Amino acid sequence: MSSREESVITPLPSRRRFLQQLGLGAGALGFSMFGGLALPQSALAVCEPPGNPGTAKRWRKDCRMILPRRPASTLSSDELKKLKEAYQAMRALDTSDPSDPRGFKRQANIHCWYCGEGTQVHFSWQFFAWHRAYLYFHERILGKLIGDMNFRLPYWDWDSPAHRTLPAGYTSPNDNSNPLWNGTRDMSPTDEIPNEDVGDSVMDAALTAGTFAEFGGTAGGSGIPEGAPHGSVHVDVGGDMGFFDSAGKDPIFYVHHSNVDKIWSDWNKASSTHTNSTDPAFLNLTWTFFDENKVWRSMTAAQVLNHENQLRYLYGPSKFFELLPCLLDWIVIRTDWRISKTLKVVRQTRDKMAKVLEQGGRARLHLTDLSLPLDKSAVYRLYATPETAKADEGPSGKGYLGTFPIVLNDRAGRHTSKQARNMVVNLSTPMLDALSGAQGPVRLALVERKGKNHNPTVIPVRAKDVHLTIAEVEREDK
Amino acid sequence: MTRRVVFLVLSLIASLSMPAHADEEKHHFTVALPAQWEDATRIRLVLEGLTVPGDRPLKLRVTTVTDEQQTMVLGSAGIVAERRTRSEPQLLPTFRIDVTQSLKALPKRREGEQHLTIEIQAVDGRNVPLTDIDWSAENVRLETKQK
Ligand SMILES: [Cu+2]
Repeated sequence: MSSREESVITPLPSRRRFLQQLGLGAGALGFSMFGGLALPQSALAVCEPPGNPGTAKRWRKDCRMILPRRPASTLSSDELKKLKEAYQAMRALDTSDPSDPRGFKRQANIHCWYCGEGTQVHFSWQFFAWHRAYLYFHERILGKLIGDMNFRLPYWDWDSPAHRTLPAGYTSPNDNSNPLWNGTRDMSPTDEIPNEDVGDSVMDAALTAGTFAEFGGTAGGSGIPEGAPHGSVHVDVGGDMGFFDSAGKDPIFYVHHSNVDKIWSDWNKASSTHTNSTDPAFLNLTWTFFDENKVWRSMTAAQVLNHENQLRYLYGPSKFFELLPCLLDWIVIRTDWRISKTLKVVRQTRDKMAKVLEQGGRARLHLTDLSLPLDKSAVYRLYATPETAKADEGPSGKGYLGTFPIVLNDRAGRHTSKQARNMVVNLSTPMLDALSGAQGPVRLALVERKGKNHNPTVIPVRAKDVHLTIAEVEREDK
Repeated sequence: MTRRVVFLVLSLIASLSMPAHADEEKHHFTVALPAQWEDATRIRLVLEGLTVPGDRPLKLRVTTVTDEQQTMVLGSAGIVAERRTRSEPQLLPTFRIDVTQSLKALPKRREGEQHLTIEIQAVDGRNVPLTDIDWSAENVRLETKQK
């Protein structure tokens, strides 16, 4: 038994204690005692270990954009659709490839294994950090399955009195056509979590816990919020949520724990004295998970303490500013514009850039020293071809790449600025497709943005240089 | 895995020898009110040596009856069960329930009162008492954190 297992409560230590109560020390656990009783493991195990026994690769630095996890009640219909698609895809893996560790059952079994069957991360300081790591990989897998690494889990903000029922998406429709549904819940769609379980006095008790030991627990005991509100909500939802071995089978688990994780985040922010444990025994706690590419990864408690910088999400309503991603390097992709004055994005380049975008990275188009009419202030739209420029369908239309304003510096209509007019466009995947010639030969063109029904004059792009850049957001540690 | 088999067999023997039901009085406790509890920033009920079923999710709900014969809820906290098929109990060395706001909101206590009588009930998600389960705590006490 490792020292980590010694420090937690159940089931292994309870077995030992139990045996001691019966007068049997650990030494009495001779296998010959019940020699004939050995059963195959599968006959007894509720769930198998979630991972492969090989050496886990270290978790990679994550430099995707920092994006908000938002209250489940605020998701737009598109976002809810995406969430359901992600869980649908995860559930589909259960049948299409039961050995895929990203499947829903396999995901649920992680909780089963870590919470009783193999070890126990509850009732100790492992609780908050382990669940944060578990949700992080779960979130990445969901994102990967819908091809959007900018996907972030929502959270069920049961602490706000208006949101005490199960979030609508998880009960509507209230049958198995809904991938967010679970048929074992005790809570009906109209039932509410009792105020005494998640109300102000409970939240106040959690957020004002004075030390990490009181809030997050110790090596051998839980902190205040693990019982209430966390445990209470598990019991209130009921069904699979009431048991460690099955809680992960209810998709509500992940939005519930997202809110529990937010409480940890809020506790840290509530006071400068609310700091996490610096005990190396805590910081070096290490767990292993499969990532979105089925790579077996290890992650430590120290690696999850700052969810914004390390795990790339924040809580709260979407802020008006965009937090800068910690882009590792910008890699320049040269073109032969200087010679041919045309842009050719070959398939290989397009695919490479698309992959970076899928990971949550950035791809950009740069136009250097752009020539534009300088006799008036105007806003120009850039398109991939003269035809799409002529059609001028705007930001969500065909061939659109970006908008570029020319502002006159004085009323006399003179541009006094000597700065080169350089245009930088953040590319999306459809824009990449437009640039790679999917809609005809690429001949960059501008039109002046005016009201509807104008007959736009198409201006071919004249620029000293046109090139592309990409910024990968993650790579293996050296 | 053989150890698991041994354990299951042993726990089966033990569960047969455990009392089937708890008597009513077992879950009434008289706890000492710590000195200057009214000034404490946090007051918590500490349950030590807690044994709950491994196969029943429950909340432990703490109440007290006021002089006016009103039942007041002091606090409540949930315990996730290990699994539906677990026969052995779940043991928690310490389990804390915050009672700060509720205790301070109680009607004025009698001068010099040093103890509080409480009842702790195991309830389900709808706060319906679970009368058919057995749970116990070796010790129950109040703990305070001062500024
Ligand atoms: Cu939980």
